[in-house]
Amino acid sequence: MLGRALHLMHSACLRFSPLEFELSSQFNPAPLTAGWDAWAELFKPGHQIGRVGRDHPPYSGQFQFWGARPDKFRFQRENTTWIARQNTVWVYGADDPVVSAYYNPERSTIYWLDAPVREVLDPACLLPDLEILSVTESQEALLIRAAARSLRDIGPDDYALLMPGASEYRLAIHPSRGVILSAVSLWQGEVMASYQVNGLRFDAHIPEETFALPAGKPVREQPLLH
Amino acid sequence: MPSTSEELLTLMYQAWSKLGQVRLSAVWGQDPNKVLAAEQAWGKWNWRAIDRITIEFMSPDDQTLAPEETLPEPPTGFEYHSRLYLSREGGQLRFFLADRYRDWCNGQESIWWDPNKPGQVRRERADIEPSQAPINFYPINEALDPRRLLPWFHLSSIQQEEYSARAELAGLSRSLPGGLELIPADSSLEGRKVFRAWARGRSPWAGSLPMPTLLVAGAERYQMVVDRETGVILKALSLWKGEIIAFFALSEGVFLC
Repeated sequence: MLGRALHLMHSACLRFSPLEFELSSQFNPAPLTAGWDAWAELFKPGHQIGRVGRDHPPYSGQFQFWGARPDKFRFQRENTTWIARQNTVWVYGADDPVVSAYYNPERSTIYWLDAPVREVLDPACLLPDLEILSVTESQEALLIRAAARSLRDIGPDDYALLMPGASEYRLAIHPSRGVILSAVSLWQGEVMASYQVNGLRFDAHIPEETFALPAGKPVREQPLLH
Repeated sequence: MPSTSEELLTLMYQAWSKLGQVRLSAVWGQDPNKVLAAEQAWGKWNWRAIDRITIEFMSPDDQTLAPEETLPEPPTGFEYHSRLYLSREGGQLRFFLADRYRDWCNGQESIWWDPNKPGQVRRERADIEPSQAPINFYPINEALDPRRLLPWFHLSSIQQEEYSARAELAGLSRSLPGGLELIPADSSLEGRKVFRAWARGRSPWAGSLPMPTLLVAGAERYQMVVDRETGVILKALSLWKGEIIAFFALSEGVFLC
């Protein structure tokens, strides 16, 4: 069963085309903070807690994603929409008068995605630092219990779906496609954070206008975005 | 019945947790210019090109910090190191790379020195847990702990065969520009059952993960020979535009699980 889980996660990003889903998140402040504190204790004094931590909370909110692989994505988070094609992304908010266009010749489409969405689509990224403890199968998913390889291993900038400091992770992955269906981080048995994929549809018919820029808004070129 | 790819991935995933005693020698090298070109073509920012690598040396006697030194510019030709040694004996890891760096790591502290610079020792706290290979030299780290390589390739084909370090090193010598100094291989790796996998590089989905060393990010094809008993990588090649731009091969290896 471990081999099957590894194989599915390792090659998940080869198996979707096209698809759509929503990703929602929930956080439980008390265990989340306790887990971060435990994690920070492992580092030498003065170590900065980076992106995910007290100063920079984890990715939250509702994401919506539409993908027509390999080079057309649209995703929305709260009031902001990103449309990515190859090495350009267009970004606009519901109230923005213009669409901002960012171009970076070194980026491919996937780089424009927010990290949680990218990790849903490509869970191979999570494997190096994840110690898989057990894999079981249900009708809907392969269920994985795991821990960080060491508490130090999952650092502040490494992952989006997995919280640093968690004592346990529970992942559900699609039994034939390998994408992540849910990711839960626990601290001493309590849920710190939970990400859930809803409305997943593979081989969906996604109308071309999904990837069209909004009519009537001018496009403003922005400096190179790294 | 698990598929061959499932078995291979499981081996690579579990290798480090299986290993007990290890003794090995290896050869590793790369063409820095072609590696740079491959990484740039692949589209990841090349941190090695942007940030000069600096290290701090400490005097072993008074433990005071010496002025920061900058590593020399990378060489322009194909370079390789004819000897890498690692032993994991008596609870201590010992590693040295030809005549350049020597590295002792006991789990809490890593100590490096360069025999060509007497009196200068670099000490650093080893932020390392026993669950991962605590070796500062990444080709060795990744060969013994290949889990770190998983996000960087897609498997294309896998063959099962028996390995001969002697034949592999002789073949490598013929394939490399300028050849390869004849590396004596002992009999420890002859006849081991292995998977020989061909793989291709992935699009940079791996985001912010640190780039591997054993497999050059941006290379078009990789060849990995994985030991079927331990999961250790016995040989790895990175190919770009049909040429080998980086290689790694064990010439001897004794593994006790």
